Amino acid sequence: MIEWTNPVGRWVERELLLRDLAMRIGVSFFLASRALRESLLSTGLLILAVAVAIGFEVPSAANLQGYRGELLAQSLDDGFGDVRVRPGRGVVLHDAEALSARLAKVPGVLEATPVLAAPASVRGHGHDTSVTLFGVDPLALHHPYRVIAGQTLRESRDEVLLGASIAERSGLTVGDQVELRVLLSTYPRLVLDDGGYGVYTLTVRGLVGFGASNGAFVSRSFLAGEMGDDDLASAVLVHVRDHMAAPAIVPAVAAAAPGAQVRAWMDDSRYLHSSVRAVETLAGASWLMGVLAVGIPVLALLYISTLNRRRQIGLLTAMGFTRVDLFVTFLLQALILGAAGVAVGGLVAVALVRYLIAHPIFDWQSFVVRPVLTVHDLVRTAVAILGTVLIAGSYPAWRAARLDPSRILRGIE
Amino acid sequence: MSGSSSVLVASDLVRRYDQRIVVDRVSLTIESGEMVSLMGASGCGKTTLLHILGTLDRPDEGRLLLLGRDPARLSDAARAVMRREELGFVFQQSNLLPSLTARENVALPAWRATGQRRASLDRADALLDRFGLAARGDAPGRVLSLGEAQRVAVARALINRPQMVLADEPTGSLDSEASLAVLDAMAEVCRTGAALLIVTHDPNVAARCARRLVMRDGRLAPGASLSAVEDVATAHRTVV
Repeated sequence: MIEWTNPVGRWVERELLLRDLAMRIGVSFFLASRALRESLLSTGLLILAVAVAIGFEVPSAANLQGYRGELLAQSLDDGFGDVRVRPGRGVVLHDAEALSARLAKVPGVLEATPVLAAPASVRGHGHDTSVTLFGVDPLALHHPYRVIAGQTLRESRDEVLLGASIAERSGLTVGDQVELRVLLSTYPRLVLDDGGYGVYTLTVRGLVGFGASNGAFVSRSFLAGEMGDDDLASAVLVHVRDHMAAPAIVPAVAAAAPGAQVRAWMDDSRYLHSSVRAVETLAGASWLMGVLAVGIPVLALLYISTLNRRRQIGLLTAMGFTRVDLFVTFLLQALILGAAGVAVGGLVAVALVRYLIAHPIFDWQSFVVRPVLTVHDLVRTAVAILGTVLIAGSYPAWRAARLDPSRILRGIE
Repeated sequence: MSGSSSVLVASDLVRRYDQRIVVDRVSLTIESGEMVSLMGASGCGKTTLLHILGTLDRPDEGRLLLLGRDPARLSDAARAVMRREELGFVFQQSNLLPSLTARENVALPAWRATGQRRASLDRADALLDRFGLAARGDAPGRVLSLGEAQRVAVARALINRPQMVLADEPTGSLDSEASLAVLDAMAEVCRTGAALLIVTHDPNVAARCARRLVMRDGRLAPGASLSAVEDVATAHRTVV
């Protein structure tokens, strides 16, 4: 059977429906905005509640995001990489350059750099300090340190980068000379037998901070050479773009390094992983508190407003306003409050974030927590808060729509 | 069966609250342009009956035909449309939305019905002018005197040219001068062709109505005379 349709009729019907909808929203918006003007104190308090929530939630979340980012950057980008490859047996990897080259070709890997570690002590200004000495590739893009004073390392047998904490304890600074005593044997049990120490006088080329502040760094080719094998490494540090995706790349890295022990940073550094998770949990709790801080007062104040306006609800019903009209009116009231609160709170949040960028809440050595705020984060928080306001406002709106006009008008409810 | 000019036909309406019968088998017919008063002691069920007739409440039993339609068979939204387009209400007090001006209060039902704000405000201005309130159009509802507010409420009840206006003690809170002004305004309702049902305790108001009904214990007293009306008024004054 053929069904005859009338596209013009459907279009007209749709137009009329849209016009009716627009008109109803227009009237409801008018009533909602006038109702808000009726009690300026309640309206002000509600806008303030929303503004305070977003004004503090956004900088707080941005600070936590900044802390998390800096923690990962210092520990992974300027630290020991996202995936660590160590010898499966023994304490050193041989043919480290070739292994690094293979690992660098694994899809998703940005760089693979070998590092060699050895126990050592630093003597300067009469102080002896035990350190772990790392031999690194100065020309690599990633190094397990961030230089906070002086210059970065170069291929040299005469220079060392010193951890800022060691330098501070020993009173050393850039340009000073230190005596470095290095255990060169890769088999510690032989130390007493062969007396395998190397003693070197080196110039402090730069100071490094945070995770590297108790270490010392020299060229790996120099250190490995002194150990008798130019291509030795204790580990190969693999860097990837997305830190959180590190576990996904482990199988491919393991396949390129047969026999080696391969671990993602989450498994290799429980402390760091716990710290990152703690920050994420705090961010979640902070977000939830922000939502509750908005939702509860909005719900309470709008509910009270509904109770106070029962007579008006009865009158509007008598005038022919439908339950949907009443629901939309009260919901629009919440929406106007939410939008005003988000606008005010958003401005406060951006101003606070800018202030905190200029005046970080944490600044130690090279570890600086600067809030990280993207438009996406701001919009997401604003939408979440606005959604909370609407949800909190929908119950009073629903109550308003369900009130019995006859009982209200007789003063029973 | 309703006649062609019957605005309202109610048959054996019953309304109970918590097993107590508030409206007891009330039957009533109101014709177009008719001005009817309903008197009775406080708590006898007048307001409940008014709300049932105005589709603000539902009877537990009985049948109501309003402009030939049974509100019980209509959806909530359709009843709202009926209230908006066919009925007008005036209550005893607190009739206005306090945050709206007088003209906005009057225009609101028309704006909701037609979607035309400007035209609704113009019509509101004309009605306010007709009731001697042209100068008070921009005054917020909360600052109007009781008499002014009641006349604004009457204007609002008329703005959509209803078939029937239901007034619940519209002069109950007013002094005699303000009452007269409101009564004159109410009389205008019938001149527009609409029927008017006024719940009142005031015999002067009842005296201006063509038909006077008296309610006792939820029932309409048959054949109420003016003297019966005055008895009710006296009883009310004694109680009050």
